[in-house]
Amino acid sequence: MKNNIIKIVTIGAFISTAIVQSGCKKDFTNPNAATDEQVFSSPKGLTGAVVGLQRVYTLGRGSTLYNLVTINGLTTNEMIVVNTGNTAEVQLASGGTAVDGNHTMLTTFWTTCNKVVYDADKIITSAQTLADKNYASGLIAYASIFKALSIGDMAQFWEKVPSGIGTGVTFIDRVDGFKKAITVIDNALAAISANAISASFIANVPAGIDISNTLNALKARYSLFAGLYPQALTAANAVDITKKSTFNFDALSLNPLFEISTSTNNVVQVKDSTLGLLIPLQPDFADKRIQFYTTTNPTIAPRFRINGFGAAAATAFPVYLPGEMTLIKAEAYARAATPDLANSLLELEKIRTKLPAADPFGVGASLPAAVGPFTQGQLLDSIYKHRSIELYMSGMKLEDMRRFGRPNAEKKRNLMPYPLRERDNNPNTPADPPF
Amino acid sequence: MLINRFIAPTTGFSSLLDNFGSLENKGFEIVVNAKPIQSKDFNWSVTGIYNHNRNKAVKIGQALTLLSTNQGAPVAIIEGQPIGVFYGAFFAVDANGGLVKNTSGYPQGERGIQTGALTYNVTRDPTTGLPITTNPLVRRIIGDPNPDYTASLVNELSYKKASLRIQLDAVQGNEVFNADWRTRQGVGNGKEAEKEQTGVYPRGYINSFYATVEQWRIDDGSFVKLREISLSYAFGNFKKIKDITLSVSGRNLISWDNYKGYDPEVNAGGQSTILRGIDFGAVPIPKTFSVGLSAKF
Repeated sequence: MKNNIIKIVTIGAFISTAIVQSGCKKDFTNPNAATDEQVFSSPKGLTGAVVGLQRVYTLGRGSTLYNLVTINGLTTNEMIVVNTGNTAEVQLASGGTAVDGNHTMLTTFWTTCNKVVYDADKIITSAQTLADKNYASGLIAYASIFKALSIGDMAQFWEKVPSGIGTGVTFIDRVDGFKKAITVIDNALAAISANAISASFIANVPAGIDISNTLNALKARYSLFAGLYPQALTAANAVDITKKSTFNFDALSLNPLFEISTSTNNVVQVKDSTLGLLIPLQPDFADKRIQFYTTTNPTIAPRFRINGFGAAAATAFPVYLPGEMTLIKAEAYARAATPDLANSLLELEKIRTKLPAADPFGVGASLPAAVGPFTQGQLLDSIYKHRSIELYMSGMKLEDMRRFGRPNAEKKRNLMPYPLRERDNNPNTPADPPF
Repeated sequence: MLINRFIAPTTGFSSLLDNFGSLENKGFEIVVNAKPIQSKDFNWSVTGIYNHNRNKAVKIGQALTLLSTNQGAPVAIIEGQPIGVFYGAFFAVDANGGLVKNTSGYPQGERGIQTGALTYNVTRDPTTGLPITTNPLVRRIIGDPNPDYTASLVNELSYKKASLRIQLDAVQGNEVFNADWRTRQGVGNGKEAEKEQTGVYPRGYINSFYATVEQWRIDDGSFVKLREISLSYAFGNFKKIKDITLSVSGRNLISWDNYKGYDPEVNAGGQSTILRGIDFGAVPIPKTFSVGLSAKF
């Protein structure tokens, strides 16, 4: 007995010595989670990571999707705040200097975008080492969609965007940010044309996203934002506008707009049936898209409520709308080096006269044909108006307002201040824009 | 200090559980026990406790580390400052300490150019004296949840078979981030909201600074509480039942404070050592009464 005690004490002493000697290690392996090496070395782990990107991008109040739609909607008068207890939303609705580097939604948005870029980079690099090239191209394309979206989302709100990921990163101009997103998409398009995406990859990721159409659609979107009109036109023409591409939701993974705003009626709501547009750009009374995007509650305030892509818990949210492609074509024709006003009007008329039943999502204005001819300025005004209606609550209006030269008086901010969390920790953070 | 600190999001991560900086603590604590009266029938004893502590964060490597909190409280760790201070925008005041108001009668947040975590140059319009609204709000330490001192006083008296115990607890000179009170004004059912509704304040008064000036949420957390009062009487023995004692006691019956919320002693930050003095949706400490009868068989 006595011997046993001595043994235990001796072993105990050895163990404690061992702990003391290896102490002060700062990196610990979390025994409850897979390690980086495990995740990023197998098709299974990489698939989990790539689905994780979609989760981070689309689910909950911290998601890029909720913040994109809400930050943009409040800044451009598309939406109003229902309960002023929602501080961050109120700051956006106040605008100007009320939106500062401490803004929680902008900080979350910035953090999530960079997190998605960081993880997407790791997935894209690791997928290239897989033996199954057809599975790998699916991983690369899927991750590239979220990487391109995240870079593009940042470039829509900030004057300069991070040039990459790391400590003390430098910043590039926002237009170069759109071009960077296009490079990401081009690499993904090259990967899927070299090795077609395998059916087993498609079976392993959530249904909804049409990968190749989405890549072309995003290329068209960011080419237009970067002022590369011929490229925007080519990419938009490559998109099959009879197809849908969506972020899908269900009873467990709720549509974030419904979960936070529509279901509670306590955060934000649509402004009203003008969709925040001013005379003379307000929607026509007969425009069927108003009923698509808004609904009314005659008894409980506010009267106008979110409908459209935030209508219900399982409402799928489009990654892009077919109508966006048509409007990109109209704008690219109108802004071309030699403006092609006839084709521009032709594309715009497709949007104006589209019947809801003719659109895969049911977004249709169903207006009578316009009587031309129109000047370039008139066409561009009309394209802006129809983008604001067709693409309502899609998170792109602030970018549109700048591109179409809308005065600052119509928006709550032109560009956003950089989060203090970045500024406090990265000396390369650019100066904040005055408005 | 092992703290979950923010790092630049462009690293791909938002926070790092890091061992950095240190906490310097200086102070003294005094306990006095006295028995002024000791006699056969009557006893009186007094215990007094006084704690005076000052802490500050040192060697944290950067001027300012802001922590994110569920309650939106801007809690910061600043080099050379007490830990967990509230850091944010504050009201512009005139030479007499009164709020500077614009032509609509709305108070203004102080604006200017921030030159460091604790330094800034205020910019005011020379004619109107109002902060220049094109400049951003400047920030400083707006509140400190660390008390100047805490104290307790316990009096115990007994006369023959009756005894009385009274305990007073005091926390003085600390501030609470009263998000709870502020939200009530925001949704229109607090005392400040009432003033706006009855016309004491102009319409739009609260909304004009509600989202931007964090100082509005800083509240005086000092209190003295009647923590416990208990009275007991020992009846002695009755037949085979021994030591029959009847006692009546009440806890947290009175709080002497200037706090605008329910209870300055709550903390929505839970057991955190850094997040203190945050009141948002926390349940106040209840008043409790108890009556007890004890006996031995």
